Amino acid sequence: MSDPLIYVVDDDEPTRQSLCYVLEILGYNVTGFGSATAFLEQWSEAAGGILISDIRMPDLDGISLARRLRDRGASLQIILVSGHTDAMIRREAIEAGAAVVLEKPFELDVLVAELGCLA
Amino acid sequence: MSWFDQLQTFMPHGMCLLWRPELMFLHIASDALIAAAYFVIPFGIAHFVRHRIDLEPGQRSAALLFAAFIGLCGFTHVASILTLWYPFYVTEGWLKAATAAVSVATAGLVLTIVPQLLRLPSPKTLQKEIDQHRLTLAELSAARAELALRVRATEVELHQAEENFAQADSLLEAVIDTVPGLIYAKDLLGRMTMANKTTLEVIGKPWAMVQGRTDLEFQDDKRQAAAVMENDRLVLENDDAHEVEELMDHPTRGSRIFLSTKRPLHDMSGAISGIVGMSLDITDRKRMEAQLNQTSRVSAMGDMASALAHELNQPLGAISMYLEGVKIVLQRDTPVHPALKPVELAREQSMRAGDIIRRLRAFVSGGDEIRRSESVADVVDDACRLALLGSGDANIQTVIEHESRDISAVMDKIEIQQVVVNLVRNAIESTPAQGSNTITIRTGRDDQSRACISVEDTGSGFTEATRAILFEPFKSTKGTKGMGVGLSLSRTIVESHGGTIRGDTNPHIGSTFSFSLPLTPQAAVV
Repeated sequence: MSDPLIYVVDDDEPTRQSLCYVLEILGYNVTGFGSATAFLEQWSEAAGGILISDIRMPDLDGISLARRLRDRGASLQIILVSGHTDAMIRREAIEAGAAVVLEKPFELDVLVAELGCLA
Repeated sequence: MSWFDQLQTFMPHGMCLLWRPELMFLHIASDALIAAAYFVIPFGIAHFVRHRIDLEPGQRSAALLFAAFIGLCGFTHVASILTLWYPFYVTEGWLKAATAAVSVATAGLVLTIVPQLLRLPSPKTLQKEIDQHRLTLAELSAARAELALRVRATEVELHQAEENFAQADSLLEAVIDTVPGLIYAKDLLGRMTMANKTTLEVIGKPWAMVQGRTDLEFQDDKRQAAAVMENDRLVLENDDAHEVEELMDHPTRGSRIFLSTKRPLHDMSGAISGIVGMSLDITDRKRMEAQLNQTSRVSAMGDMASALAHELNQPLGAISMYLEGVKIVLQRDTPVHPALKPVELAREQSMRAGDIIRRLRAFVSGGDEIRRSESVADVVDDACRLALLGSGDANIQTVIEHESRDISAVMDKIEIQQVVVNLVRNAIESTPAQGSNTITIRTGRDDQSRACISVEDTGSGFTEATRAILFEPFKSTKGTKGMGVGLSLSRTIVESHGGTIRGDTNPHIGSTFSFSLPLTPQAAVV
């Protein structure tokens, strides 16, 4: 298995850490960020990879983050995740550039399958 | 001696006058005139007596006697003339004697009559009296006329007053009859003494069947009637106004709720003579209030569910992820590790919790509900299996009774299972650790249109004060064991299905919670 870069952005620490833990066990190269701002500060355009971000976050939310990345022409694949999704949020997320929208809690198998497609 | 001898014996009276012509003429003329006058008078009297028919018998005979007396006097004067030539003095003497007798009788009569005559009013007096009477009569008729005028004026006034009264009366009656409320009066024994049109409409009977009768007599529902009369009694007993909600059956609109204001009625002496009441139909208002209440409760629940969903999803997701991680690690070391199964079960349960939250939020926000016709017995069986897991207490016996397995209702299976699990869990928790206890779960038909599910326990039950807040959110009676959302959530779920939920204490021990669901319409049965 290659080492695709995965960025996990979630303001809820247990959620972020548990996801990082599982993905690391599965062999991914994972970096976690507590906020969208923190991610944007660290991110370099050339890196590529896959971003898994929560939608509902204080300050900069997941959809806004996706828009900014799209505006910057990032080659990053984006998976947006939320505890509460409805048709409108899904459409907005897709328009903002998200490749996949998942509703929490999701089965790991589903996420792994999506990652496999995007990688 | 013969009549002729007499003539021979005496001298004619003319001799006394020496036959002197002038003296003769004087006597003859005077006597003749007197006699003529005396003869006329009796005719006058006779005429008078004949035409005055109102004379009393005594007066009539007196008049005739007087006429006879005058007539006889006349004859004596005629005799005096004749004796001038013919000396029949004996006959003349007897004639005078007869006249004397009649004269004496007349005189005697006159003596007795005079006082009577004296007493008779004179024509002048009579005239005066008559005038007086006429005056009095005139005054009287004037007075009568005035009285008649006054009577007429009074009559007009009375009529006007009557008209005004009738007008005021009919206005009052019209007002009382047009007000949408019930207005009525009852006496001390609760007998109806007055009722407006609306009241009679609600009672559904004409005034004749209501007047003078008590509620117990004219109302069909005796229990409601007794409650109404008890309220009336309280007003009389406390001599104070009383506001109360009452139930009455409307003939066409069914059972209605009335807000009644009742006041004691006092007579002139200040003693209570009955009650007067006014009742307003507040059924629609109450229904709207209840709807509003439910809507706000649902929306409060919606907000809460949304918040809860977000807060709970995070830790649930984390749990699920960590368990996935643990599973992968275990599998990597030992593919058949004994801890693998419980870890997988734990993960499934965390996913189920997430599922419940998703459904809860979906249904409070009116979102994607999955409702279909389900067998009530099947759903309850599944829910009981879930609820009784881990409650292997030897002292709790569980009985599940199904009236029929064919009863079905349109529902979201997961939501209704939540309600059943909740009720059974509560029953288990309220059951004491000692003794033999039974939890009985029953399903059946409540009536033609509803399925009924009940959970009966032999636990500690609840107090009347608790009953009021049973279904309020965040009101737990289980101390630190509960959040107080279980029953509240159950109610929201049941009500969103068009059913009702209630909790009752059992007569002897424990409590029974039951809820109803509309049956699947026949056409919709799959």
